[in-house]
Amino acid sequence: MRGWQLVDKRISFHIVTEEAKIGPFAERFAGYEDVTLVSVPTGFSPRKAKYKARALEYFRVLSNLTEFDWVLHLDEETFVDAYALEACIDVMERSNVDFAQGYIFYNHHGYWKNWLLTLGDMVRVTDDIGRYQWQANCLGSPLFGVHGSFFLVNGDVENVTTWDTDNLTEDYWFASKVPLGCPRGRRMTSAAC
Amino acid sequence: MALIPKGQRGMFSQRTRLTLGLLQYNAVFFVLIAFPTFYYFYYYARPHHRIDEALYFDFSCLVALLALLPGEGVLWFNALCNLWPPRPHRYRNSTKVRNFSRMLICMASKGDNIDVSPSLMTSGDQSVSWV
Repeated sequence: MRGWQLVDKRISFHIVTEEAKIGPFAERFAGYEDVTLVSVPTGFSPRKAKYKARALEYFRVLSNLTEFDWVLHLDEETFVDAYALEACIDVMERSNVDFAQGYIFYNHHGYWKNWLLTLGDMVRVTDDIGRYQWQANCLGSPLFGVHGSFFLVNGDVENVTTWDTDNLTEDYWFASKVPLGCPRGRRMTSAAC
Repeated sequence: MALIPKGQRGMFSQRTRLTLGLLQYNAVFFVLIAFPTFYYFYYYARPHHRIDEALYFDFSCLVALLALLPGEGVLWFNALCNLWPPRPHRYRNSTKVRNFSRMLICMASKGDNIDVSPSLMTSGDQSVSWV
């Protein structure tokens, strides 16, 4: 049993990638029966979406999301732990928000070991614990946009908004479109830290 | 990238840790970038040039200042934003109960890095913190 299932058995893990690149993933995760590999067919052509937005759109359609489903979007290099997942569950079960953004500590590993990278990533961390958490907790709306990673969205919101955009910053586009299409208004919070 | 593991959370309160971190980030930015830039313009570059170029270097200093302001401004805006309490697990004691049926962790990958999220793969023991 994987760690996330110890937190809650309703949590499942999906890796979404292009059909042509699924092979190495299948080898890498051969023993992980609880990890679902989703390959985006080459022939899948939504109206506008390209690249990552296209993959997310395919996953949305494939998953048959409902208002009782939630999707936690991660980038491939992002780590999560039980604390973060528990905070997400708090948001899902005990709040009335439609989507949430968590903090990412970009330079957590090897802190000051690679000092140049540590310096470079400082601005991003500052943004996360500064204005991004403020907009989520105080404003309740994505004034400055959102990150595509550690982004928790209700399934119903995904269905209304969709990922079908030709905007390369699909996360920002999504956040800006949610207030227009969200059935329950524009509500956002900070998921965890 | 990772969230702070459990072992390090007990050292300071959530708020203290974030505030200290933000001050640290601002201090490092100021010491390593902003201050050396101003030092160069005001105390090094300017005296080495003729009087009639002084106005030019005054203008350069102004440009440098204006160039730095947005970056530093965002940093201090972030510091102000941090005064708003983050309140992690703010909903834990809420009486509201909203059921969910599935939580799907969706990790989109370009396929360049197949060593995705080993934190989720390595252990079922939460105490290890998965990282």
